[in-house]
Amino acid sequence: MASLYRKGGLILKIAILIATAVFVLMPSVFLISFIPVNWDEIRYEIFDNPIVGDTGWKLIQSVLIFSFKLSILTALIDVCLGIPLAYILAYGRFPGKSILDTLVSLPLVMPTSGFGFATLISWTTNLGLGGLFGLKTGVIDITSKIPVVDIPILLLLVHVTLTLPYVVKPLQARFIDIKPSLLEASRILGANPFTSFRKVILPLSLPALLSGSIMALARSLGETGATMIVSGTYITAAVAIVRWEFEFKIATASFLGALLILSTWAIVLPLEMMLSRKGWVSLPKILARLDLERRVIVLEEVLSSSLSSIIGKAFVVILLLILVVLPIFSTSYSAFLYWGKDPFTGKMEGGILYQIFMSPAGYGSLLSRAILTSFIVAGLSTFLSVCISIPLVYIIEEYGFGRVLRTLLKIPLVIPTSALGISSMLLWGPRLFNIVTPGVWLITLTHMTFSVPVIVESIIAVFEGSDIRDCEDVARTLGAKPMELAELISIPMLKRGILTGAILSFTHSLGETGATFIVMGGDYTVSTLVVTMVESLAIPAALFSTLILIVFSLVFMGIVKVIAGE
Amino acid sequence: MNSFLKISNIWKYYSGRPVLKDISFEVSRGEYFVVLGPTGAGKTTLLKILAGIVSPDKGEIYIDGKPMVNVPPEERGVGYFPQFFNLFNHMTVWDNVCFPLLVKGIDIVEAEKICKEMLSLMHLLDRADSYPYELSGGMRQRVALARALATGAELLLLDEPLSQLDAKLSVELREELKSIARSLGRTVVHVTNNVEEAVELADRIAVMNNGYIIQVGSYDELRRKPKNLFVEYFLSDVNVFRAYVLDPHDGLLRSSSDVCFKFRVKPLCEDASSLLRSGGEVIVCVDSDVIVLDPPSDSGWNVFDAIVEEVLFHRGGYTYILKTCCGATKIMMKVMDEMEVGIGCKVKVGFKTSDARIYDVSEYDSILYHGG
Repeated sequence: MASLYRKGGLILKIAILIATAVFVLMPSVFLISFIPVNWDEIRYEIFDNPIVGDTGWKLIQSVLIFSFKLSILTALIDVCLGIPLAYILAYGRFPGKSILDTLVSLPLVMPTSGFGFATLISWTTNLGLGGLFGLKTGVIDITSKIPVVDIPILLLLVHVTLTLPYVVKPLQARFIDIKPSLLEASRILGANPFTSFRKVILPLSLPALLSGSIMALARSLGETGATMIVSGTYITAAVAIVRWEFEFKIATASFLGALLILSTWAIVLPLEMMLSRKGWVSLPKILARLDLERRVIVLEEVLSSSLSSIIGKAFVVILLLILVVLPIFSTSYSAFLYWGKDPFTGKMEGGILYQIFMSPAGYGSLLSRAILTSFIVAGLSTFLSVCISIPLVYIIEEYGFGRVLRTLLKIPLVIPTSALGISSMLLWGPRLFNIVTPGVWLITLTHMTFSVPVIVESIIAVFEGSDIRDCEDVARTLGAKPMELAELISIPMLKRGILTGAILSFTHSLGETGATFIVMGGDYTVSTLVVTMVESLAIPAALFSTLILIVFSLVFMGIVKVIAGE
Repeated sequence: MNSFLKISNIWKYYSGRPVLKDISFEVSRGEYFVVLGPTGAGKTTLLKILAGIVSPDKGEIYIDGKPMVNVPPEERGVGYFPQFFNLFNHMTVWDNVCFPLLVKGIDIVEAEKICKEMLSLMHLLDRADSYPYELSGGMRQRVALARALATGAELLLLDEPLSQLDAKLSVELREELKSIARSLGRTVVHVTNNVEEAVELADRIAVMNNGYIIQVGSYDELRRKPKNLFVEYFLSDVNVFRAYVLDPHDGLLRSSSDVCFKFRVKPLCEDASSLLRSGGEVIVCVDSDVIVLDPPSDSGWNVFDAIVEEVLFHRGGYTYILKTCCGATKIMMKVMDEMEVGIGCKVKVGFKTSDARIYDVSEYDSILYHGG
């Protein structure tokens, strides 16, 4: 009996590893193989076209440069805003802190296309900030840009908001982990709060800050949903892949996708390996060498006044109000104005009621169908991913190669989703397996690729913080057989991690745009539908759909909060 | 001997390093057997191997005559009490104790009866609906014990069951532990690093160090005939001197670190006297409770002038820390009643030449490593 279990366990482990390889790792590397295999096609289309020459290559270069400029600037701003934000959320004590905490995480669960649209109307129309200041137009135009770096302000704003939680959340968690006694010791030794922070807390948090900002950079590089809505005439690499795929320039799109995947690897993998091995990094001691330290400390003493703490808190509140709350309110307010008729022309055809329920374009049925598709895809991919993730966590924790496996699982999280989408399509479609065509099933398979890593990470967090291993051992000595062990001990103990991971993966799937656009065929999801609505200028319908997305994400956020607070 | 548990030649390696080396012993039915040793000796690994959680690299285990090495933990039928209790925090006390009965598919009426019995035995009936994290350390310990007992297993494996409790409670629960095991007729293998605990509970003690079982026997046997320096040093408060042999026939030695500190020893056995080679170095152990105040000055005694440096009070008596007047060798003396000498007083102390035990100098390492 015992050997039967042991054999069964081994077969299960191998099956899980194969499933991980096929569903998670292969889609994220398959695209690379496209380059050598289809080199002739690529050369013809990109480098050596008889009609346009190497225009394709020049285009690829220009979108890549623009994308990296945007994401590096985004990550830098995230770090500057993220450090004080994480500090205040970790150590500050003031009423309404938990609301601020929720607001910071909201972009993590909000479908980005909906959020992009919400930001667009709050900045570029008089329904948002413009109206607040009594203007006839918005405060900025969609084409307004930052002079030197040549990046549209609105695009940067959206990217910063959407990626800020990736810096703030791990940093905040790290700050809370650092023992208060360390900070107290530094204060008692005579350092002011600012200096203590710089000399004690920040060095201990550098790994979290680094991996968080790399994550932010990667997310910005791959952001598609909101970017398609607010980028105007500019085009990022991730969006270019979607657009070119629609124009059937498969070779160009795949080549760009492969370049994106390779460059993301080059940035992320060495750093992840380093961090997971050493667990810390140190910066060169520039200040001490230049003998600037003393002057810096004097400055920090000035900054440590209680006034600066109030200014800091006010800054955080205003920042979040502008970045997160304002778009939600503008959308709700606009939806209210547009409910019966277009507020500017007074035409009923421009109202939400008409567009959703009466228009010949059939937005109502499209929307309900898209919601259904979204929920089926999110539910299915989350369920399948949970089934893979739970045993996968045990494999990662048990074997020596687990650390490498865990790092590999980060790949689908950092590579741009539109590249992932095209890779998935080619893998499951004509180029390799040839078993799935674009549609609900392919969307589900593609979403599993990033759902598994999301769920695995949140289960591992609970796993490593508990004595589950010992409890399982004890339960076995008490007579529990493997199935009973899973049902009575393992799953109940990991419940919190499984649920949090499942909800994150569900909302992630609900909001995913880049990959979905490529693999969906005719099966629209809500977030891709919003982009299509905006592009076909069906503003009221887009407003209504965005509002529905916002309501969904607030509900999920609430559920996450309840589980986390348990 | 009717041996209920038999372990022979167990070896266990962790990443190439042996943590258990050729472990063999037998425990008879109904015996309270204590494995005693410093932290890192391999005690917990040994217990986990007995429970079936860790499998040995070599060796055999028999429980009631049946080979157990390839039997998974759930089929071994032992009651295991882990060091940190590892209660199931997502279950109530009642569900924790019922767990072994539930998974063994025991009839529900019967299971409830056993569970109630165990909880009342542990005075926990009124906390049955609480969750483990709502309980105090002592209560958690009782729940873990109730859970292990509820398996009905004849063999109980207890991994430092009292170490997580505060000192007073730990002492109180010792007696309870033994009487429960006795009254239920269970065989117990109890692992600890606390000598007092071992002495009070054990029928027999196995002293373990550095992956080896060094000696097995009752406390008296171990005290009277310690197999090596480590057993002697770990079980009792002894004075340990390194010394050079000045005169092997007369047994005259000189402390290695203090030229003025000379004394005589009278080896009682052949092995010990063979260690005394002229100019060689040996280890000398003198129990702290054989050192006496104002000894008779005849040839059977070593006598020193010393100054009282410190007086320590503990349960069961006083310990005097003395320093020899010539040189600076420290001597520990343990007495039942307080003596009429204070700190700074000059005293005459001594020990019988036959009370000193002699070991090879190479054994010194075994006590240095473990905080000697």
